[in-house]
Amino acid sequence: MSKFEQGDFSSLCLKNGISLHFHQTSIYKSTTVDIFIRELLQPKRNTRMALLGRLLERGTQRWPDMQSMNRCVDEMYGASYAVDVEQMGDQQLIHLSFEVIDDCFLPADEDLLKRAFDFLQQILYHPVREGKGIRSDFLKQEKKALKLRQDSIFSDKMAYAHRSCVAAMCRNEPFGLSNLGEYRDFRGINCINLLGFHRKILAHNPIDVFISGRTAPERLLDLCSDLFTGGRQPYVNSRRIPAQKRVESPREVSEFQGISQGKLVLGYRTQIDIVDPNFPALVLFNALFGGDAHSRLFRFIREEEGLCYFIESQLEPLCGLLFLNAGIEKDDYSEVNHKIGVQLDKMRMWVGAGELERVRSLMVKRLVALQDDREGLVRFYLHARIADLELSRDEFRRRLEAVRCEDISRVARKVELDTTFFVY
Amino acid sequence: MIQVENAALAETLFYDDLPGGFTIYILPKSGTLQKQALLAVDFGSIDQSFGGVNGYGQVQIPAGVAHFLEHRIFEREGRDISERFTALGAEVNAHTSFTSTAYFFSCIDSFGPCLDLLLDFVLESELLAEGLEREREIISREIQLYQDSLEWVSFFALMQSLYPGHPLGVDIAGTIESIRSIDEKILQACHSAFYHPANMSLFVCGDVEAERILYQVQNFVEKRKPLKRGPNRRNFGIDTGTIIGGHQEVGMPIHQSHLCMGFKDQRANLKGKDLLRRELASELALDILFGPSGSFYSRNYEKGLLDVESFGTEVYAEPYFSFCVIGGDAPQPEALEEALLARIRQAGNGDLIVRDFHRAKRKAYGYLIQQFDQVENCVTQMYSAVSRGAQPFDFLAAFEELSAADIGDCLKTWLDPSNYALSLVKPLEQS
Repeated sequence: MSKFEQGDFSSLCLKNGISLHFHQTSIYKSTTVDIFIRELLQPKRNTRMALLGRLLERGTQRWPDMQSMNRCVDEMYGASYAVDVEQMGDQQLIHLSFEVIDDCFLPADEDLLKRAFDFLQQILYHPVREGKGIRSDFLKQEKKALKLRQDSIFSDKMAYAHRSCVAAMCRNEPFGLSNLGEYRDFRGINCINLLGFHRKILAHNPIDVFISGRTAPERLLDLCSDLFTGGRQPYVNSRRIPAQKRVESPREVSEFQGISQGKLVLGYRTQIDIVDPNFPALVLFNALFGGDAHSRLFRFIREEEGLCYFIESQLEPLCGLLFLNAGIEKDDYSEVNHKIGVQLDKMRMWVGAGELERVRSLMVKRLVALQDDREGLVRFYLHARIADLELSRDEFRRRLEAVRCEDISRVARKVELDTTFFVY
Repeated sequence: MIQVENAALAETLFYDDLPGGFTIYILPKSGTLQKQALLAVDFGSIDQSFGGVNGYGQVQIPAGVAHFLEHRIFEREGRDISERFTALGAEVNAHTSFTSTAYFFSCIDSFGPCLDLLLDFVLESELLAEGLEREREIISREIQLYQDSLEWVSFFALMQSLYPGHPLGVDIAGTIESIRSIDEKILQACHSAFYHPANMSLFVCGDVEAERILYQVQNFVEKRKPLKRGPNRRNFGIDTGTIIGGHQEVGMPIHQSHLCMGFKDQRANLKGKDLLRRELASELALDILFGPSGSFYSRNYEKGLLDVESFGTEVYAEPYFSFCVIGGDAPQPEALEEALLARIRQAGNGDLIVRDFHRAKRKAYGYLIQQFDQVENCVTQMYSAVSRGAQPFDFLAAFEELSAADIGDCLKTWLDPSNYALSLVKPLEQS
């Protein structure tokens, strides 16, 4: 068993490709267990992952339906169990999360953590079955429910615009695939092959387990060893090294729906991802460009011009993409696009020391504050794990502190607009 | 300063009423890095008619003033006050609700200077004249933004059915028309009427020394001249009786219909611990009837009538109005409406409640404990209790007192299947 320290978490490898990350802290009243099973986003398989994620909430051999499963979790003093199928860069992740109150806050000692692990063991290794496959009525219902979820993106106009921009921009790249999968793949998925898929990903895919709470690491290791009872095959890290794709000619797509405020999404390629030495400068560039409440875009487009209520940019650190979202009037489309371009050009030429210090102190504050933010802390280290990067918060802070004004401008010169999507 | 310990939470609370009516609540938490403070002003979107200020009679103001004022408060000395927080390594924000406006910041260091800055900028009486038109423009866009939000549209359509003609049915930011008539004079008058210590409370959580904060705030408040009398705003004239014409239908460019059903509590006018107990009772009632561990939920999920991601229930318990909402995306809205009503009728005999009470109460206990976990949640919980006339730890006391009979009473006097409102948002081509 190899052990490696990575800042806030003490990490070790349990079996081929199963890594455990423990953060012992007593500032919380509960313990959280987050399990991530991941693989590269791939056509057809993304739909299987999406369906499987849903079925992990439907039943196990001991708790054969949703009601008995949920009651079991409720009986653990309002513990919570949820499964999400997420996307991070070119990866799709099945994320199982469990949170349970620590025994010292209960009227009696109940060893809830042990019960939580028993529950997770059932979920992972003993799904409810029908013959050699998954229960057919469950699969049918989950296909229907997943279709509903895919359709509901259309109701959230900002999410819809974002998804549409990504799909247009990354048509033939893993990042362009949806973590919700595609309706058209449903036909090829049946009870037997989905159960086979379930077994396969548990045996092959990289799994990361993050646990945060007051329990000692030795006990957590025992609990995890009892949890992952299945055999493991040699595994390969699922991450594809993303090709830094140049933009040949920017694309513009628009769609009329008759909504009250147009939703604009601009997709940029930065040519810099989390492992690149320029990444800390890109993080600060993003904060300064549109990432925080005093960003250039916020100040000039919202505060000075009153052209929108919100305008914000966000980074996709694993793929080196940057997205800018704004809510604007249809008639202001050209003006807003032009003004965004002007701000980017200005940043390519010059960035002030004062504004850099402001965003730097903000980003450092957020990084330091992750100590009290379990979810944020897990995300920080998970990104590094996926990228196979050893990066602690302290190290990242040092790198942020070393960024100079000219680094920001240099990074800005690499940022290229790829796709503009507008729904109005 | 009064000190209260709570053994179940392993937390100690400090609070005090300062001269001039300002109340302060501090929950020190050792070992955490983040510190947060929230300053609440009793002035919300439904304060559109009030009296007793500076000798004037009853005053009427347009919808959206509290929210507009919240935006303007940030403009001081020609610059955005949040830049000064950032310079101190802090982040500041604000939020307006039906009944109050809250200003809050979080930081790691410089808590003292940040707190001074918070009190100073919120209480500073001189509002800036310039920039009002640009602000109006930004707020109009904020209103438009929410007009595209399915949940928001559906919620306010429901509120219009529940409280027809009342400000509760209007967007918290007002309407594009109503904000046109908001001028500097109105904003200034409302600031003088509502933004004074007697109408405010402060909540602090983090690794802080309670005595030191109290001293700092005392010094600040003493420098302010106390107002003789605050505005007489209550009780908002809210009708808690029968719902008339409670059905609203709206069309939006969406694929899936969205249904919300709302019930008004006929026992409104509770406050303090009794209100928290009522809130808990109704939450348990809804969990037993419609929660993920009940037969209703799984049966109707399997039938495809409800969607796990969006289906849910929510309780709003305020001193003068309490209501609850049940709903979500609905592929067959009529069938879902019928199923919801049938479930409430069936629960009327009470067996269901008694059978499931133990589970629901255990679950609620865990949730309560978790609410006092992270710094941010603690501040919200304290604010939530105090704004409703209770003390922060009353949540636990209310929990202890809770019995199955309380839930039965909610069914009789709150979840009345013959007295409900409904909003249905349909895809445009169908509506």
